[in-house]
Amino acid sequence: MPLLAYCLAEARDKISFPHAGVQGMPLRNVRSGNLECLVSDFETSSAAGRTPIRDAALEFNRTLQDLLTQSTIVPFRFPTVLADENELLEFLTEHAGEYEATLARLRGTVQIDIRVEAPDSESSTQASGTEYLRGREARYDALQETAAQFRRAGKEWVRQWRDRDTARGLRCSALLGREQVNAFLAAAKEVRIPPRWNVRVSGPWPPAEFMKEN
Amino acid sequence: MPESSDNLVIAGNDFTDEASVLDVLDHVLNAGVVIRGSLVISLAGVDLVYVGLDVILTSIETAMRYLHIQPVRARISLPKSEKPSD
Repeated sequence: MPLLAYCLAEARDKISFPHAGVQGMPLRNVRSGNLECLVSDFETSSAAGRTPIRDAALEFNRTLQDLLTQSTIVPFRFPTVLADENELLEFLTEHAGEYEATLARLRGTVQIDIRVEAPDSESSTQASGTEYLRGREARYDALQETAAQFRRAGKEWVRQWRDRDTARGLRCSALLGREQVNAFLAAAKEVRIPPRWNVRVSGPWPPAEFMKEN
Repeated sequence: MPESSDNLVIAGNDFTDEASVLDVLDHVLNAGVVIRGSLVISLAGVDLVYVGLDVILTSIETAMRYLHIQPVRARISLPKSEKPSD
C-alpha cells in the first residue's frame, strides 16, 4: 500500500505517536541508521482515499504539530506519497548524511513566521515614474524596518532570520528554541505597526525555511 | 482564538480561523522535503497565501486521482504568474 510521509526526525528522540494521522491511519516509523521517518498508510482507492484534500492537509498539520512538541522534525511537503517502504528506504539511505546533519543543526528549534503587508504607496497613482519608483522604494524600506523591529524584539532568542518578498510585503521566518516561543510572541505583541498595515505572526512551525544553511 | 490588535495578529498555532487555515495550507503544501518522483506542487517560490488556494487544492485532488493509477509519478506545475486571491 502507498505510504504518506510526514517528517524526518532523529532516531535518538523517543517520539510518542499520535493515535492516527491522515485518513485516520495509524502512524508508524521507518528507521534507517540515525534517521526516523514517520509515515502512515495512504489509501487512494477507497472512500477513505477520497477525503477532501483540505481536510487531509489540516490533519497532516495537526500530526506535525503534535510531533513538533516532542522532537525536532523536518517535514515532507504534503502530499508526499510513496509506492511502498522500499522506495522510502532507498530515499533515506541515499540522503541519510544530509538530513542527519540538518536535524543535528536544527535540534531543539522551531520556526515562527511574520507576514508583513503594507498598502501600495500613495505615489503609485501619480503620473511621474520617478515618484512612483521613490514611493516603491520608501514602501520597501518601511517594510524592512518593520521586519527589523520584530527581529530586534526577539534578538535574545532568534538564532537565524530569513525574509523574502511576497506580493504584498515581506514574509520573515525566525528560528528559535522551542522553549523560547512564548517569550518571542509576547515581545512581538509590543511592536508598533504603521496604520493600515497588517502583520500576522504564526507558529511554531517545523523549521522548514532553515533546512538549507544559507 | 488568535490574539489581535487593530492590525497585528498573533495567531500562534491556533488554527481555528480561516486565515490560520490558509497559513497551514501554505506551510504544508509549500515547504518541506521533496522526494523526486513523488507528488510535487511546483509554484516556483510563489507564496500560496496569495494564490487561489481552491485552484491548488483542486489540482492536488486531480493529481491524487492519478495516484490511484500510477503511484508516486504525478507532477503538478502551476505558472509563476498565478493571480493573487483576495
